[in-house]
Formats: sequence, C-alpha cells, structure tokens
Amino acid sequence: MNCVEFRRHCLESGVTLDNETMAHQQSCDTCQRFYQQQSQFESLLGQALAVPVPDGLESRIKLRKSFAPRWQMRQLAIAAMLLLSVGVGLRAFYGPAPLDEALLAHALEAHSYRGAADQPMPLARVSQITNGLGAQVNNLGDIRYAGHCRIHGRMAVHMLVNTDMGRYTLFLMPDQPLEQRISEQVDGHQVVMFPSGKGSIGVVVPAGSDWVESTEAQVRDAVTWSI
Amino acid sequence: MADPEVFSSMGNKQERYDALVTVYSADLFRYALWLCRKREVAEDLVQETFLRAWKSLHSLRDDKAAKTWLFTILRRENARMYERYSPGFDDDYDFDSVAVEQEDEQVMQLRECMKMLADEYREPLMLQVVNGYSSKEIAGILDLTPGTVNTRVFRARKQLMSLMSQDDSFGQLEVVS
Repeated sequence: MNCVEFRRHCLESGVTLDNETMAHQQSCDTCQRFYQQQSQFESLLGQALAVPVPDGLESRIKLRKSFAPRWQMRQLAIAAMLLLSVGVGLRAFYGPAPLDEALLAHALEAHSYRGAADQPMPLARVSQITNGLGAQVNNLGDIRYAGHCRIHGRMAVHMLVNTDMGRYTLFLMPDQPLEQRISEQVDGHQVVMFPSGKGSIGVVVPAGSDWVESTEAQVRDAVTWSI
Repeated sequence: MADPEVFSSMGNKQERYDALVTVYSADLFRYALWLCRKREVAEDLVQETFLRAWKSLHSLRDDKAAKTWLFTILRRENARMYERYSPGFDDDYDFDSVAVEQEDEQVMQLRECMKMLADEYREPLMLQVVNGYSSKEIAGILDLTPGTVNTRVFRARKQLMSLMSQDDSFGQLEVVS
C-alpha cells in the first residue's frame, strides 16, 4: 500500500484501519500525521451528525401504532359491507385510516408532547410555515403552535389556536382533496373537515363544543391559498 | 446496537416490532432529520415508517435485513411525501429544537458545512458515520453499488475538509487531493 491508497482508504471508510492500512500508517510518518488529523475530523463529524433524538420518540412510535389495529377492524367492516352491497370496496380495505381518525390521532398524539407556547407565536414565523405549503393565514387570532406534519403521507400544517372558548387544533392540508364537508364525532372529539383550495382544512375541538361552527367560519375567512 | 439475531428468536409480532423500534428509531430519526430538515416532519416520517413496517412485518423474512428494510421504507415514504406536491420550505435545517446546550463551536460549524453538501454526498456519509453502516449496506439502502458509495463518501469528506479549511478554525486541516 502506498500513501495515496492509504489516504483514499481513510476518506472512504473513516479511520477504521485493517491490517494492511495499519501497517502502512505505522511505517509512514506523513500518513501517521494525516491519520491523527483525520481521527480528529471524524470525531467532530460524528458529533455534528449525531443530533440528539427527541425524548419519548420510542413511546410515541408505539402509541401511534396502537391506533392501527382499530382502524384495520373498521376498514374490514366497511369493506365487508361494500363488498356485499356494491361489490366494490377493496380499496377501503387496503386504504389508509379515514381522514377524520387520522387527524384526531395526530392531534392527540401531538398534544402529548408539543404542547403550546406560553406566548402567541410570532406571525412572521407562522407565515413562514404556512407559506411553505402555499397557505396564507390572516386574523386567526392567538396561534400558539404551527409546524409542518404529515397526514396520510402528505405534507400539512398543524396549528394550535387559543380562543376565549377554548383551544382547537387546525390542519391545513393542501394535498388532501375533499368533495364535501364532513363532521364526525370521534373518541370524545369533534372533527370537522371541509374542502379548501385544492385540498382541505381540518378542525379538531372537544366534543360538545358549541363554538365549532363559529370557529369553522373564522377559519374559512382566515385561510387563503396561493396554489 | 442489538444483535440482529435477537429478532429471529421473537416469534411474536408485537415483540419483534418493539425490538425494531427500540433498536432503530434513533438512527432513523437522525437520518430523517437530515433528509427532510424539519424536526416535526422527521418524527412523523419515522412514525409513518414504523406503521408501514408493522403492516408488512410478515414480509421481513430475514431479520438481518431489518435495518436496510426500514431505511428503504423511510426513503420511500419521504419520496411519497413530495411526489405530488413540493413545498417551498425555507432552506434552513431545524436543529434548534434538538441541539444540545453548550455545543462545541467546531461541531456547529461542521454542521453548517454539512448543510452545503449535495444530498447525494451527505446521505451515504451520514449512514456511514452515524449509523455505522458498511458500503454494502449503504449501497442496499440507496440502491447504488458499493463502489459508488465509496466514491461519494470520499468526495463528501474531501468537500467538507475543503469547506472547513476556508474557515480559520479549521485551518489546520489538510485538504487531500
């Protein structure tokens, strides 16, 4: 092995040396210095890349999965009904969870760790996040959290909004088209979804909230799309 | 990291799944964060990956392939996210919420340099350095040949060293031609 091969090996595989490269390193002062520099570099590189993992990630993954079996049973029932009455429905069987359940699952799971800030989120930051998905939000009020998330594998904006009546979760989903408004009660929550732009918007409030309609109206007025 | 053999002895689907989550969730999150840049999205991506893994766990016959299998699912999920709509994210990586306090200044600068690398160089380097994968494993995940992987990690390191040598604090590093 020569010096060029030694250096190529280091740059290809970090500072892991086999017998041959180790022998060269021990016999060549220049490559020994190179190896020491490279070791320092690799140590820094390892630290730079190994960003800390959020607390509770493992638990949240298992929690998310715990929603899956119930969905499968529901899909099974739906598919059976459709197969009997219409003769189609295989797509429902294999398809994802209903959008309302997906929103609720995401809202509940996200509530457990994201929480809301003590202060309203700066509007410039909110705009940066919503604009990224082609949405503009004006006069929505006291937004405590806004971030990107995935619903049914598509990008969405997830927001927490405080009102005098209570807090609600809002999803802006540019890539989840909906034909008509849907309002469902799911596990103690009211999930309202309606078409907006080329996609849809979802609002999740506690069941029985008499302010859901006024909230929906406010959201309809507040959100515009540029796509 | 746990011995892959540990999965083989688990007949129970739930146990097998839990073991996969325990062993690979952190690696997948780090990879996802570099891939999609946003912490929240990265976490969602990892969760979605494991959901898909749960649904098709029966298809994972060789548990030694679990690592590559999970990373492949994650990459496909990430690609699926953008197949119909490509959002205009701000370019900055969302490391604020995951960075540790009093982090070494050189580490932060190196991370900045990492952001400048092309994806095709950063991805294999990250899989090698953080996850400790061999060229063959990385080739399996990225659908490349091991030779191409070696070339890309070689170039990635060279570019990083070059970028850092432009910075005074890294002036002592030698750029190898």
